[in-house]
Amino acid sequence: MRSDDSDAGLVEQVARGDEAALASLYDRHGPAAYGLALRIVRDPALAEDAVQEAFLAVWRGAERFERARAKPSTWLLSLVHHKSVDLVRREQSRPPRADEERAPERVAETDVSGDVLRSAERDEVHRALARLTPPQRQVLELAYFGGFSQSELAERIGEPIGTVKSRTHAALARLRQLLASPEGTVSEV
Amino acid sequence: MSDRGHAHDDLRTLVPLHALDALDAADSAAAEEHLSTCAECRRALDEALETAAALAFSVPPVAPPPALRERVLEAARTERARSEAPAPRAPAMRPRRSFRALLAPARALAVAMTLLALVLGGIAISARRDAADLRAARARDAAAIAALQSPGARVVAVQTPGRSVAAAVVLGRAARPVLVTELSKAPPLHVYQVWAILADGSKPISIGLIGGGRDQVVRLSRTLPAGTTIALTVEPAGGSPQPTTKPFATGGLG
Repeated sequence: MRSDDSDAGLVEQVARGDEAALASLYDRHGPAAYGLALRIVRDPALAEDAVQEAFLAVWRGAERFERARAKPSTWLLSLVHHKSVDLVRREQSRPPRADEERAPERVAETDVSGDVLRSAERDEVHRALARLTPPQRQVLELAYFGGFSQSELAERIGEPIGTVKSRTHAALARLRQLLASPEGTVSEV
Repeated sequence: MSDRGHAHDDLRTLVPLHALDALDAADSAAAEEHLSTCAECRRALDEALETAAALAFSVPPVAPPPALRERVLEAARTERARSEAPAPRAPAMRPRRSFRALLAPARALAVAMTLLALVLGGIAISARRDAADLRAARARDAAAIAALQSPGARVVAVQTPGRSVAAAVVLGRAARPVLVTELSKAPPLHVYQVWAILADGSKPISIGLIGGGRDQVVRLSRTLPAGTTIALTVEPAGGSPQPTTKPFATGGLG
């Protein structure tokens, strides 16, 4: 048996080169990672690449992971996000086809997992997102799931970069407040 | 936007977009540079990343194709096989005085002091680490000591444009070069990457990754011919095949 099979314990074992610990992390977070990558890159093969690169970055970087600063799952999903956005931008740099305009989806409502806990967490995030103003929701969805950069965002929503920055800041701050106190009243930011 | 003149307040506004990976390259580099020195903005980034991860959790999980698991593990195994090298043998410790003599060729006193503090302080820091860390730390300290003690050792400063010393490269004739840094911990999801830019104008070669903080002594992965420039950049965790940000410190090997 493992001495510590919490995420943080597994990351520590990965830092010592324990491949079984990496496999455990993959088994635990692979579906969330693949779901996120697929949502951003919209192509199964590219999503696999993003997930593989993210887990390799965990393998290489576990030694330097600071548990005081982030949860391991936050770290892993940030890596998946980063790699996915990289891949999307690289794909975009080839000439676009007319039918390829990336339309942001609404945050998915379908639940293909039987994982009740995760599903409750998802509902909570959906409820919080629903309480953002539509422009706040739009900027988060375009940036996080669409992989749009700040200048693309400005162009797309027809606002100056300064507005994109302040809106993103306000959206994330409000989302953070809403997630921290989901039932409470949260003042507008 | 990417100039060093960015005030803290300006850079602060980039943090939320940075957490969403939505900065353009120039701003991303400016943000990274600022984050490497600003604890307040690092905390803001950590918070923003945590909130961004909640967005990730809003996506329904999808079972990856079964073959991907083995592909990931196989890639990890391959990588380890490539990076594993025999551990360096630790030389016997010499009296402290000898370090000062060996450092005589150092161009900057600041570098010498940094080196001394790091090499001599290494063991004390090590006492707080577990066994694996301790072995790794000893190996790193030993590498620095060996390089300093090798015949004709010289020290080259790697400096920021403002002339502050970010790192020192110790070049010995026999040993592989060692880089000693005094960098704060790299920002989350990022590392410092060390590049060798050869005089022949070819592309920069990655010669090491540093997390900052406790990883302060690294043996570089190749010897460096005269005329090489050493450059440090901030890169996403795991390093990049080529620099993606502007070097924040450089040093020429003359």
